[in-house]
Amino acid sequence: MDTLTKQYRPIPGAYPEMMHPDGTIRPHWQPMLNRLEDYGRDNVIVRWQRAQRSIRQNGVTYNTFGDPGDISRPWELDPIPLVISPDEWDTISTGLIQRAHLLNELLADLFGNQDLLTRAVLPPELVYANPAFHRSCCRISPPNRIYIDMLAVDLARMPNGEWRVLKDHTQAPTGAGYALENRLVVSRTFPSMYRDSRVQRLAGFFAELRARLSELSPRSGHAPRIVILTAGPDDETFFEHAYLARYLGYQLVQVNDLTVRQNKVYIKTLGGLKRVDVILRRQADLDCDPLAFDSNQGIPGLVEAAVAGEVVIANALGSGLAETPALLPFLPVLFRQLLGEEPLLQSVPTLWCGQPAELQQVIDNLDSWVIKPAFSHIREPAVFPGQLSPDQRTDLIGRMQANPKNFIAQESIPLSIAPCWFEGNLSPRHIILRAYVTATRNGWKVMPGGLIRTSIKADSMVVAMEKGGGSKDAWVIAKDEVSKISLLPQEGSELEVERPGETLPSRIADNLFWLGRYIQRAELQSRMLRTIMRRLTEETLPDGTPELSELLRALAVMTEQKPEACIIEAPIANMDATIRYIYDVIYDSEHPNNLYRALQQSVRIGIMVRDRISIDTWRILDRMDHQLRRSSLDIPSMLDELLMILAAFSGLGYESMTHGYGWHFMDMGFRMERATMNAIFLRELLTHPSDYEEPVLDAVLEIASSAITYRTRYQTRASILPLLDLLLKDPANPRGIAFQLELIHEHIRILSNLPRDGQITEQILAHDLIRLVERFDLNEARRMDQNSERHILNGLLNEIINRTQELSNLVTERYLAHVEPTQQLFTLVGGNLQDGEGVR
Amino acid sequence: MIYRLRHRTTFEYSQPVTFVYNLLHLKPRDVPWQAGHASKLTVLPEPVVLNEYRDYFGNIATYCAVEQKHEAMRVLIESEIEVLSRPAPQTGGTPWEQSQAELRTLRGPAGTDAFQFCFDSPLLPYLEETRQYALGSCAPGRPVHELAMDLMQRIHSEFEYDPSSTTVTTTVAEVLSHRRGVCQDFAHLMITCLRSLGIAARYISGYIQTTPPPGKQRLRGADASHAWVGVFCPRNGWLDLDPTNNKPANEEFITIGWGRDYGDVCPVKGMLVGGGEHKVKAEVDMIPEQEYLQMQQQQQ
Repeated sequence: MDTLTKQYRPIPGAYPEMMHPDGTIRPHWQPMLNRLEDYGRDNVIVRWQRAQRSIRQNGVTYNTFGDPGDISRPWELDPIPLVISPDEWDTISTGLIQRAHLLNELLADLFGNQDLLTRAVLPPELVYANPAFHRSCCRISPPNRIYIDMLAVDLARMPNGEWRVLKDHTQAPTGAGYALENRLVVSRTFPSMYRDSRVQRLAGFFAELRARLSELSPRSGHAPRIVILTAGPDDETFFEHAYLARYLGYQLVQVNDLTVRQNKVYIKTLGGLKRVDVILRRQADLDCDPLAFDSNQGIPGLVEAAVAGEVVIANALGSGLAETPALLPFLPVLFRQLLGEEPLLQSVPTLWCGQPAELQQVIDNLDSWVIKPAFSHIREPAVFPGQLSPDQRTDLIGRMQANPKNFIAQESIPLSIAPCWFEGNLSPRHIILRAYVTATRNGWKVMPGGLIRTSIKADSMVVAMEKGGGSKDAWVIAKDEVSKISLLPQEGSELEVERPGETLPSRIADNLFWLGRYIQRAELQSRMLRTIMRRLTEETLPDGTPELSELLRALAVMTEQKPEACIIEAPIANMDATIRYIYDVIYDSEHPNNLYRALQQSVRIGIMVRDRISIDTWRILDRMDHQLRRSSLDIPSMLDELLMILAAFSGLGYESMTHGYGWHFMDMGFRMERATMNAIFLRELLTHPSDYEEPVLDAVLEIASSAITYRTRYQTRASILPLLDLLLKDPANPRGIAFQLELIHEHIRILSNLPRDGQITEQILAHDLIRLVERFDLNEARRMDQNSERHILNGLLNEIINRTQELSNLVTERYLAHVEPTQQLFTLVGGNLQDGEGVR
Repeated sequence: MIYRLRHRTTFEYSQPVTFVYNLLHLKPRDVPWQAGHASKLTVLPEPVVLNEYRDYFGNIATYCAVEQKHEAMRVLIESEIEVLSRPAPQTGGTPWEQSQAELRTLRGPAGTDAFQFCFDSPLLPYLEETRQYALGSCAPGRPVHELAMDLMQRIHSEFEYDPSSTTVTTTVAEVLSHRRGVCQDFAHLMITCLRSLGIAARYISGYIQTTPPPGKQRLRGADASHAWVGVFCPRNGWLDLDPTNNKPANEEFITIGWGRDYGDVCPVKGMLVGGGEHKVKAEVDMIPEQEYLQMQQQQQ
């Protein structure tokens, strides 16, 4: 590897991780570099390209979901790990353990009798003016007074080689899952390099974490149910939540999946309520309980459940207080006061500007500091005063003097540098290390490794994933043999059989049910629109297209508009008005129930259930989203393309999704929508016979996609009786109503396997609905309705619409009703009391 | 003076609701000039969980959860409370400019307890406009309590009491610019003013006695929840002032509890699961014991 390391030049002033200042390689890097050299540059390039492809592919499922349009932002990983020697790691670990102990004691004091404040060890502002101090958390006493079950610490290395702390993460530390993924990718890509470097394994740490969480369970003698609480797909680290849930074998839930009943926490599943014992949360304190905290989000009653000891939340609610940046300058004193020890691991020199002398000290020598927010709730980036214009500088000083307590200053130190793989060469980048500590029965344990984050450029000190920086694996070299621990079940241990699907969160089933409905709604509206467009634009019969007005009226009913909204006299003559109307039905984003809305809702729900649908299905939703945003003027081609996409979605849904309860809900939604919408448009188009019935019948066959079936079967012109038989009664026509009813009945039969009472009601209803259509005698109806409006047919179709709705309500009520939103009740003080309105 | 207090809150929903989680601040806390003789809380439908505790500020809080289908929830508190007269505000005292510095030197739980009321709270962020308004009461060297009394008097005379002007979500900035509001708004405004000067101020929730017009019968449910302000004068302790009525709190005031702002001591805060609209109705009767006994006799 001479060729690679030879060109590598460290950056003056920064500690070089890989080499001594004289340019010789540090010994603990040597085995890794030797193996890298054995692969050779070209081989490394090829292997790494393959690895990046696999990251991207996983990335599609495991990515940040912030923007639905952006589904393939890959995780940035560098192939060259940071290598750390065993002795050095020992020093870091001891310091981290001491720090975890300290931060925990700090929380115990501040949520306890606050000696640190009454004895004036800490300025009271750091607690009382700190929104992270949640007073309601004082009532919670976590098991064994451990507030921090998992801690993450950002470390930077000073030019003299000493590691220093930049920041603590005590609330819901992120990144351990990314570290694990990095390890998997690098070790798989360079197996011999990994094997021969004697790298300490990460799995042991996660085994400890899992053991820890099980121990926390308040119910002894039960296998604990542990869940990971995520803020949802919008969270930037959602990938990691889903990843850790899979790796640790826990269910991933959102606040709406949980409910508090009689001070106990339950997850709302299709199989009913399941008790939750331990919550590993990735949700901020503030968003956990709207009753206890000043927020609209969360699970009402969660704090009470925690106070009652019926559920344990890790990290404890309120633990975010310890990561307040303004605490950093006071930690050395706290080490002495709370532990009676000197700190083994120092923080980067930090001043809190809330003290007049410190503020002056910072302003006097502004360029040697990095200015950061003093409290976690202030979301502003770090400022490097040296890079500011004179105006910006004056502005910064003004802001600091106006509100000094909101700022800290950290000494600007050059971060150490490590080699990164860049266009086939090693190139230096600044790095910071995020290390992890977990509580265990036998004290704190440190993850041997961590997440390395790298700067974007060699000359930039900005190290942040959201700014486009990268990441690395951290290899801690073992002193002796590497011990092997895997989280996979040991051979011989019993496999616990779970009945699949029963624990599916009701929220997911609800989402899938509506996804099915909206997809089908979009399809039928598109078909209707396409039929109308054809009649508008293609060559017409000499007498015009008399059925067009009828079709427009039916479209209005299907999109739930007021009838007068669409009455366009002579649609062909008023072509412009007609096209404008149709354009609105497609694209108007204010419309309550048009095609735009159906597609938008499909995409929105698709994002929410993204971890439940296949990658291909997700891609289809993404294309749908693009169609939506494009606002094409070529409506016929747009509709053609959209119908292809929708058909692909239905096909994939059938083929690539496990036919578990989730799928049954989705298909049931699909079928209920199709039965209802078909009944509506048959009612609108067929129950008032007119002189131009034949073109109307042709249009109906076209919309119902049954024209070919009809012609091969009857080989005559369209006429009402055979058409009704095909679209209403024929159980073999997948577009017809009878077919939908059969499937709805089947879905309901399968759902009745879920442990609920009274399910027989909807089974009877579904069965009756099938019989109702079966027994409907077309000929007799025709005789009775002779020469008049088709009242009997109208009655039947209305019956189908109403009963399907009733069925939908029953199923929703039975399985999904507890997925309701919460709202706040308030009383007013003074004034309006007599007849005050509650504020939602 | 002994009072019979009855405060009934009714929530009516447009659709039945099954789960409601409530946090109540309705029982009077003990303070040196006030003693609760009896207090009875009734929640209907019957809650499955009811837990009474002292909150961080020492108030009596009640958590309760209702878990059955209902169309209306009723919360009734009936208390018998004796209120004694309080010492008149002291003269002399800390000049306002030194308030925070003096507060900082106070040690022990009482000092740090007062200190927490100097800072922004969730509903009351710092506002430059309120500081400007407050400076109108800031003659140099003026003692904290005199400044506070002046501020109270100014708010009372310059702001109009107007129940139609505000809701629970009205901000201090809106109150300041419209110059109108109700007791809660005036209390919030005065607290924000005092805090902008570095003075500790807290929000007090309770009731005030009303007198029926001469010759008229007391109307049932005509009283209301009330809110006023506690100001901390480092040398003399807490001074309670009511900007709505321009007077220090006296025997006519029943104290329920205090906090940084309304959010800490909201009489009834609830979360319900389900859709639909809801309506709130509250009736308060605060009747002096003697009058109460007379009414009882008349009824018999």
